[in-house]
Amino acid sequence: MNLLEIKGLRAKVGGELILRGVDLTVASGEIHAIMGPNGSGKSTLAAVLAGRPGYEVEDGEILFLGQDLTALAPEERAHLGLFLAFQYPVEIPGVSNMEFLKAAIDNLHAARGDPQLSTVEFMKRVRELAGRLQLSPEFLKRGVNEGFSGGEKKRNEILQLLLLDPRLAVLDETDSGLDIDALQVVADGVNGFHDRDNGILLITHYQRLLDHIVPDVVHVLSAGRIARSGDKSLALELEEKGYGWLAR
Amino acid sequence: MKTLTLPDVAEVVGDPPRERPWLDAEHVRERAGDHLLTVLTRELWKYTPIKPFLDELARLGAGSPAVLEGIDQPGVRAVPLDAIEGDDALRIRRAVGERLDGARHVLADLALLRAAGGWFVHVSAAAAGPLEMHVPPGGVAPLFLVLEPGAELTLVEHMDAEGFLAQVALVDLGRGARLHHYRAAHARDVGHYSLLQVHLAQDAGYRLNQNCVAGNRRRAEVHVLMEGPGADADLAGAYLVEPGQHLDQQFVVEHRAGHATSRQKFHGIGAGKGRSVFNGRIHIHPDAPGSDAQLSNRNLALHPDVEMDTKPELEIYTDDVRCAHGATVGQLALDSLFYLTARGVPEAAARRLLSHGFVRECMAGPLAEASAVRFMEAL
Amino acid sequence: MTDRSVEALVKREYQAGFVTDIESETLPPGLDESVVRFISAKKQEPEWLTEWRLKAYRGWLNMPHPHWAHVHFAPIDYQTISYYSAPRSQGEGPRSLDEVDPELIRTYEKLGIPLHEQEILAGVVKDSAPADARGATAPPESPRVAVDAVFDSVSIATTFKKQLAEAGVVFCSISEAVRDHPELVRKYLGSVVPVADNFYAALNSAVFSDGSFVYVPEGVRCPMELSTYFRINAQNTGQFERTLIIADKGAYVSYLEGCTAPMRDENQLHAAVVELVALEDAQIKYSTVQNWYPGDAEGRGGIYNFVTKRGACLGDRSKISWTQVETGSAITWKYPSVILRGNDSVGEFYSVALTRNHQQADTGTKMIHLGRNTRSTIISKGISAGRSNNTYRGLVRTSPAATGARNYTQCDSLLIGGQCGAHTFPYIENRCPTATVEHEASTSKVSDEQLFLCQQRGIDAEKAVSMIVNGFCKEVFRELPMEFAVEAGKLLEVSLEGAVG
Repeated sequence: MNLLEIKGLRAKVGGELILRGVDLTVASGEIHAIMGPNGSGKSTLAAVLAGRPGYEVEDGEILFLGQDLTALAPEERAHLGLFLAFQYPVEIPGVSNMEFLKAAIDNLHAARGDPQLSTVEFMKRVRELAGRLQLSPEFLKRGVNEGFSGGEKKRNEILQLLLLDPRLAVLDETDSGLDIDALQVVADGVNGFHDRDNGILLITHYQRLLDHIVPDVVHVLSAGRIARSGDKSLALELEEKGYGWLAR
Repeated sequence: MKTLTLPDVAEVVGDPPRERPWLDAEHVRERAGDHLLTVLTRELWKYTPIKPFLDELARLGAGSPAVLEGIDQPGVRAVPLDAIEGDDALRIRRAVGERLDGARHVLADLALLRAAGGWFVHVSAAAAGPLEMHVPPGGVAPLFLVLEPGAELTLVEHMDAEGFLAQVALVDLGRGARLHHYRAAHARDVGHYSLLQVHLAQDAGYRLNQNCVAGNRRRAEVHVLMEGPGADADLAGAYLVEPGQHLDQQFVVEHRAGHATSRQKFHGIGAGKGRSVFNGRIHIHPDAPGSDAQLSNRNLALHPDVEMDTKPELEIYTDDVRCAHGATVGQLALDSLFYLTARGVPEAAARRLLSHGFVRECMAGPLAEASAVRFMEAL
Repeated sequence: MTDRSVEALVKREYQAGFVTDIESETLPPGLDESVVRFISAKKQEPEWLTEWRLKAYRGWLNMPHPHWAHVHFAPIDYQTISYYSAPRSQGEGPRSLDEVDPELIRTYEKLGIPLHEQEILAGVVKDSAPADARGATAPPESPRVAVDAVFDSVSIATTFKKQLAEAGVVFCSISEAVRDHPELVRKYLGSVVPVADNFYAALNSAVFSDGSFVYVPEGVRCPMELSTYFRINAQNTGQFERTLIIADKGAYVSYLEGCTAPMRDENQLHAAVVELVALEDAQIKYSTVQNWYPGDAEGRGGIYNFVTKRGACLGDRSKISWTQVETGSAITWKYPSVILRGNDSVGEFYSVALTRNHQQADTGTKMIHLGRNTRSTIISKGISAGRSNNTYRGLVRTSPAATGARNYTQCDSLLIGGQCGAHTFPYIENRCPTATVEHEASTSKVSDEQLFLCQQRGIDAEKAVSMIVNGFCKEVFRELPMEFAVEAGKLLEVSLEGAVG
């Protein structure tokens, strides 16, 4: 079953056309990696999928579980099961991480008509996940991403991924700024999340993440289009030759 | 409620001595008259009585003109106000008419009406050497300075004369122009009023270092207007209050255009029975998104009878800004003091050292050394 | 979200805006000595108080309006206001709750303030277990709160009087206090806010009609929260209540104040005076949730809230703490202050002020340090939205005798949308070389990135803004009694609904 079908997607940021016709399909159980040089439109694609304000879809379709996302608000997309792990998670001072996570999961359950998680269950679940990601319980009381190190911010994103358990996770440069140990923790988290019913779209500049999270398909985005798709070996080829040869 | 009446404009400025092409005396007289009536009810003169300034202005003799050194260099054209004519005169006339705020700068208006010698300086390139101005006692010394786009200048102002002096400086920085401005006022036996107003066009840069010792009565007003995106202002200075002295500094930085940056950092020491008033206002206009403004004012009260007042203000009319201010009044940090004494420095010396460091931090440029020495004397 | 902007956020209707249809005895508009005498006579006041009022009135006639606040409004014509309005059914005043007009009781019930003692403050406890994980769970027992309900010019009921009396606590309307405790009233009334203190305080001193009185005797810890609920109902009336709270040596009291008014197109004046007196080792905690009608989206109508609140820490080691959540009123002009006279006394001011639409708030505090080692803390959180203007104005003054005094002030502004104003005018006057005064202020906005992160996690923009604003205010809400912190959070949420459209 197809989780995501992108057809002929053209999108602008600040009046400038960045995505110039992207086609992409992700089926249940698949991991896709999107690689590409800086400025190729990788992060724009992630932002457009999640409905970030300021990103304008000019043409094309984004079908998620068969439903067109383009007219939906970001929270509606989230409720359908689309998750974006941010490249630069923003700080929200004063709002505790715990409070934030509870609001997120409560709203998700409410939108789906599922029963609410009791505070006790919720706390138990969050503490367990924090432990798995090697985040101290103390961090749950701190403001959302407030004063977190780069690694803590990324692990916090993965914690949210595991807690909210979406159908499709879009990971935007989640590996950037991580040392090798933190990378392993994050990768373990993502691999633990992955199953036959969900999908992952990994956006990355470097091959190294793909040693830890092994993709089924690798796409190369260049100048707003998928220039090439292949299996994992494509990533190794890119690592060796750089992106330059694709442009020719 | 105490009532205080102020002299009227005629009592302060008399009849205008003669026609001056650079000043629309009638307009300025009228404006001063309008605002003199309300000055007592305004915040601006809450901590410093205006009347002694008016009295001294009224008593003022002819005075000697300000001395300007470094005017003979390429790119610099300096004209004494007495000899000004044509477009230059018109330009000043317009600047005084439109740019001074009648309510805020009533004393500046009155001072201009009494001005005897002053300068118009026009800079059209990067000047190689500094321009040095010596403000004479017993006079009013206006300076109208224009930096054309891309021009650069270092201006050094010596405000060390004793007696009464009033200064009005209007500075216009064209696109991308840069001015390094150093001023020091070290004399004690003075009545001193000064207004410095600087307009910054796009990408213009202004750097001010102003070190003041309190006088019998000293009031320094600095008004910086960020009028183009990318403009950048950095104001810093140190000040000192000695026995029986009074210093009132009023800083206003107005962000009228977006994406400009301003920094203000002032440290002061109260070393004798006297009073220091510091007012630092950041004003962000509605059409100035992306403004970045900060102010820090710290005061060290070293004498039991010194009063140190500070009033940092923010007035913000748009949300896309980064603004912060901080102000403190306090004593030397005990742990620093302990650190020094533990290293064998006697306490009195340690205090002096730390106090000196506290003000030295805010001094820069060619006058910094002289200021440092002058401040050290008092400590 | 794309076609809805942050500016559109604040559109929610005012919920306490209904009018109670009740017959009132209302003085015709206008103010002269006969009105002052009428009010005094109506309350059967002693001669000294009548004279006290007249002195205030005569002083007021010669006083100028305060002009320094950062607020703008057309001059008020004091002759168009009625200075006394009371529900007719009150007659000489009910002796017990059973005698109170049921229509009035219903009014307060509608506002969530039941006057039946067996109940607790409704709407407060019922929902006080927030589903969000604040880390705290709901209180297992219902807190009891004694309420003094002031309707227009008179106090209509005070609950739990008997239980309080057993503890020795006096909690009654100020009119009753004048009758039953004249020595206390005479000693302390006007002792903190003198009759000629300022224009509005002088006006209040001349025409105040009712308000609350609290006396907590030596060594007594008041067994429950005390609360006054102010309601303006009648048209063209001003409300001029007077509150006097005295905590004797070693006493403790926590007092709460709430306010609402109907929606009307014209502006109404509320000019209250609150005086707090703390003797040695006494503590007074005064909390306000102010939700007067703020006017409509175009800035028509709303209450002018021109209030003088001041506390005196007379005794050594005494403490006065003000906490306020200000969301209502067209214009707010108030500076709950503390005079720190006793050595080692402590003053605190915690404030959240939210303005939206065309509201204007100029609020802050004065901390006057007179005694040795006095300490004060000021935490102010201003939130501006719409076309509103929100100003913090504060004074910290240390006198030469205040050796070792300390103040810490933090003023933060949060701006929502590009058309509002946030201003900070702190005055620091330091005359004591051993005092330490620190002031910090910062400005932030609800950023698009923060909203988007929340939305991506499934939290809609409105909830996200309210969460962010609540987080911004946390340091202040922490100071409110718990039930009221929840209420304050909700009030903020309601006030912000529609703020991010």
